[in-house]
Amino acid sequence: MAANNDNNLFYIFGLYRQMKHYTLSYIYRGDISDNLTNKILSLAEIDMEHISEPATLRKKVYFIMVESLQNITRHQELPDKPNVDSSSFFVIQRLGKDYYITSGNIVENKKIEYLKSNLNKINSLDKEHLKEYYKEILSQGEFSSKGGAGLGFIEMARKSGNKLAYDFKKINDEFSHFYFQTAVSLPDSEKSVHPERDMHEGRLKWLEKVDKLIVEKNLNLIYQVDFTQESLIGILSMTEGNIGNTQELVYRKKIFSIIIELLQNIYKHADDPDAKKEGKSGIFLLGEKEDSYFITTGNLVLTSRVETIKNRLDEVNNASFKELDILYNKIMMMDDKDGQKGAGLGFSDIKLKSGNDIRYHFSTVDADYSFFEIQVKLPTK
Amino acid sequence: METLKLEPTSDTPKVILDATAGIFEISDRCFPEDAIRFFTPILKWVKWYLESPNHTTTHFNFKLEYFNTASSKQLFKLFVLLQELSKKNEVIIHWYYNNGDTDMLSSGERYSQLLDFPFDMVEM
Repeated sequence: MAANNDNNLFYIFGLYRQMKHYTLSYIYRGDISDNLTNKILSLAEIDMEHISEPATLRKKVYFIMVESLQNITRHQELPDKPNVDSSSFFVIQRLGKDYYITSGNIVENKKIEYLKSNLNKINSLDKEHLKEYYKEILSQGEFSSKGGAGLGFIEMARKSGNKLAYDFKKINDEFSHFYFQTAVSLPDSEKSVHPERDMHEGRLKWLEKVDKLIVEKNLNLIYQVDFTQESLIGILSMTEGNIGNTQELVYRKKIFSIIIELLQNIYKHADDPDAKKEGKSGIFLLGEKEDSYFITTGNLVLTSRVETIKNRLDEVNNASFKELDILYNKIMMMDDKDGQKGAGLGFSDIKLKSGNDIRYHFSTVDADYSFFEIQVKLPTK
Repeated sequence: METLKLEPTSDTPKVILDATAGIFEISDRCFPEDAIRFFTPILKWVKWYLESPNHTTTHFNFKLEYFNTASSKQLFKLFVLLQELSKKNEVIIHWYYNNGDTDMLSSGERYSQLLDFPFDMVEM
């Protein structure tokens, strides 16, 4: 029986709905290596170039991303406590013309007071005093053993021109999660007036909730953007950095093939109410649980198309692998139609490659649109 | 006949179709945004070649890492042309796949069986 309207997927629509004001959300949880840092930076570069962001803003965002990621890799403490998850959290979001960069990593509770007083001091200073404070710290030369001197925070405050937001969430008597967020915007005159932009503290709290959800749902990556071929290439590169070291080449190719089909499905076939923009709004999630990877996507489709899509998926899900082979061949041999965007083989290919039925779910958005989620389970063995 | 040479990109393969040197090869990854458009010059070139093929055996190498379903359909069209070519000139299709890559192996087998045209399966 087909996995029709799978309610386990429903939370994705909730996430998508909460993020709908953002034109980009890249949310990652896992170990952050230097290799992955480079991939994250290049993905952000691709995105920013794509929307022709002004160079000054691009440089600022880039600088703050580098600082945040270095903060994580430098202070990514790996306690010898098997019960404590020491993986890190990294988020970049775009709202109107503002960028929000958030990091999360584990810290020892005994360092919290020092961090708090340092951050509060920075937040209490205006532009001129920050400059003085920077010089003061620099001349003292009290560099910590990890290579930082507390200069990173000051620089982030100076470059962003905004207050630094932070929060601590206790894990146990020894460790806490340290969440840290910097907002980057254009100079005052060009600041966006997005109604959501002033919810700075609320945004950090919301991300803490998302982080909790990520852990509960065994996710590694949430990527919400207007999908294009460029963002697909970026995701593949990210995935390579993410699972590249732990999985065999053959398995990686399988995962890539499935991601390609799912994301090309979005940008070729999704219905986006804003037809003027280049990409198609959607969400991509990657998770790992019990020896399987889970690849999930969500996008809007016209409700009038839901039955047709359901029928296609059910046809694929109800077919045996042998029948699917025959179906695949039949479709492959058809002539191309005018204006054809895909081959119509995506769902069959996904089931053949994953060896599993395709789970899906439709939710009603409004009178015209539905949210279409699709999940593929790919066992690692 | 002019050589068709395409350098690989992050989503399109390296292509060399050189009748003079006797090199016919498509390698790397292949998932272009518009597969029909990407394959048009390739299919066109092979149609030309069909008119006056080399007198020696045509060895056509496919060394693909992975490809999308839109390309899979265009590849099928290419194989139909190569099958036609085999009536005029000896054609051997060398289909490369990585050790253990059953997806790539079965893709090759699919084309071969559909066209009833034996491929040389080469494990890398």
